[in-house]
Amino acid sequence: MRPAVCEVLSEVCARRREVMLITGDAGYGVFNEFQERFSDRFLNLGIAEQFTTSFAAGLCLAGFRPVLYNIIPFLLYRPYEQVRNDLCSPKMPVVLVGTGAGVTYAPQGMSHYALEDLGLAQTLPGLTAFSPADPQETKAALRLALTMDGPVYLRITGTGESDLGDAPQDIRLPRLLAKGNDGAIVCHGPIAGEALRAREMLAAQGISLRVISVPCIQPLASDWLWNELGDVDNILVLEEHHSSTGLAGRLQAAACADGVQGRWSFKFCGAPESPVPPGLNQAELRRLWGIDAQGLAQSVTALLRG
Amino acid sequence: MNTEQWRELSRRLRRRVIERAHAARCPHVGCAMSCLDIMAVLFQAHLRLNPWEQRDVFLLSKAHAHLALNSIRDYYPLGASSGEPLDVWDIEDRVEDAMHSLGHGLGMGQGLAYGFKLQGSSRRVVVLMGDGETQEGSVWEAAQFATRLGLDNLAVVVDGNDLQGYGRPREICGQKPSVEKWRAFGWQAVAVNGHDHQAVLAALQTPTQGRPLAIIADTVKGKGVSFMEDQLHWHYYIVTDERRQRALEELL
Repeated sequence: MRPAVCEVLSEVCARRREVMLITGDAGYGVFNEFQERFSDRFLNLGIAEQFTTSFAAGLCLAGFRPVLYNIIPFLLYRPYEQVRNDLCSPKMPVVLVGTGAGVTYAPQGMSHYALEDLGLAQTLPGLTAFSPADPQETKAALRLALTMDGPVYLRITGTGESDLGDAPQDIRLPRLLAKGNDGAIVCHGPIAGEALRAREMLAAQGISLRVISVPCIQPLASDWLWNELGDVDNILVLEEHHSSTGLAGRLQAAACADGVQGRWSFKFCGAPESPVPPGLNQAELRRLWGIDAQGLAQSVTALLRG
Repeated sequence: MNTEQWRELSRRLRRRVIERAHAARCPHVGCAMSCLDIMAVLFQAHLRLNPWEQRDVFLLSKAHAHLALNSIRDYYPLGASSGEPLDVWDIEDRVEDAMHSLGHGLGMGQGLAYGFKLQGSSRRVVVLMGDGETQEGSVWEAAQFATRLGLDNLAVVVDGNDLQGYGRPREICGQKPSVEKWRAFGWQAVAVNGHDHQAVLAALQTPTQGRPLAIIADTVKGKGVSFMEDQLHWHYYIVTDERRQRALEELL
C-alpha cells in the first residue's frame, strides 16, 4: 500500500504544483524516489505531531494540498485536537495517510498499534475515512481524496499487500470481492485476504460465501450495503479493529437509523477490547482472536447453523 | 502617528472592547486590554493589507482575546480618512481569526509563512500569543523548526501580561517569557513595552538577518481601566452596567 501511495503522489504531483508530502520522520526509504523527483514538495517535519498538523492547516490557507504521512497513533491520536480544530472544523483539504493499521507492527508494542483509529475518525463528522483492502483501493482512495474539499483519513497497513480483485468502480461504495449466496463477510482493510481464504475453505464444505470490502467507512454507504445483502440472512463483520468503534458499530447504528435492525443475524469478529498480548506477531494475533481464515471459517459455519 | 494620536486610538479601541464585552456579557476583558496596543500598531502601521489578495496575515493564537480583534475589526481602517468598518473581514474569515484553543497559532502561522515562501511571495505572518500559552508544548515544537525552514517572514508577539487563569505564570510553571528561550531556538528576539506604540512598531521592524522574529511584550492585564489593571479576576469578570459606566468615564 505504501508503494501505491507513492505512485499516486508522483502521478498527481507531476500535474499539480500545490500537492505536497509531509512526513513526521516516518517512512524512511519509502519516499526516496518521490523525494528526488519532487524535492520542493517533500518535507520532513520531524517528531512534532501537533506542530505538523497545525502547519498543514497553514499550508492549506496558503493554497496548498498537503498529504501528511505517519504511523497512525502519531497521525491521529497524539494530535487529535489539532486534527479536530485545525483540519476538520475549518474543512481543510488535508489527506492524512496513516500506516500500521490494526496490528501491522506487532509485536513491536501497543504504542504502534491502531485498533481504535476508526473510532476516533468517527468522532470527527467532517473527516472522510477510508480503510482500503488492497493497493488498488488505496490508489483509488488517494486519487479521490486529493480532489475533495475537506480532510480525509486514509488507513493503510504497510508494504507487500496483494490486489484482491478487479479495480474498484467507485471507492465511496462497497466492493464485491467474491460472490456467494449462503452468507456474507463484510470487512475493511487487507484482512479481506483472510476472508477470501476462509471462503475457499468453506467452498470445500459446499458453503458459498460472499465477501464484500467496505473501503469507505465514513460516510458509510449503508443503503448500498442493505441492498446488496438483501438476499442473505447471515452477515459476519470482520475487521482488524475493535468492533464496537469500527465498521461493526457503525453498521449497527446505521441499521437502527435505516430501520432495518433485526433483518439479519450478525456476528462481529474484530480485535478484543482488552490489552493486546505482548510478543505475538500479526498472524499469531489474528489466530488468537479467531480472525484468521481458519477462525473465520469456523465462525461462519456456526453462524449459518444458527 | 504622534504619541497623542496613538493614545486617542488606544482609548477609542478600549471603549469598543468595553462596549462589546458589556453587550455580549463575556469574560476575558483583561487580556483583550493587554494586547490591544500591540494589535493597534499591527493594523495601523505594520501589516500590509492592500491589495487584499497579497495581504499579510495576522493570527490571534490567544483566542480568548477575541474582544480585541473584534474591536479592531469595528474600526479598521483607522486612518484619518475613514472610521468605517470594512466588510473584507468576512470574505476569508477563517484566515484572520482566532485559533479556538491555545498553542495552535504558531504552527499554523509557520505553514502559512512556509507556503508564502514556496510561492515566492513577500507576504508576512504575525502570530499573537499569550504568556500563559507558551506553556503549551506545541509552541516549542513549532519554535524549533522556524529557523531551519528559513521563516524570516514570520513574527510572534508574546503578550506578557503576567496573569493566567490561576495567577502569575512564573508562580504556576516556574518560568516567565524570556527572549533567551527564543534566542536559544535560533530566533531573533527582542523585549519591548507592549503599551508603547512607537517601541512596538520599532520592535516589529527589527532586522532579523534571515531569522524569524519573537517579540516579548511587557504588558498589563486590563490596561487602561484602573480597576481592571493587573487584576486576576478580570480574566473572568463581566462588564455590568455600572462597570461599563465607570470604565468608559476613564477612557474618555
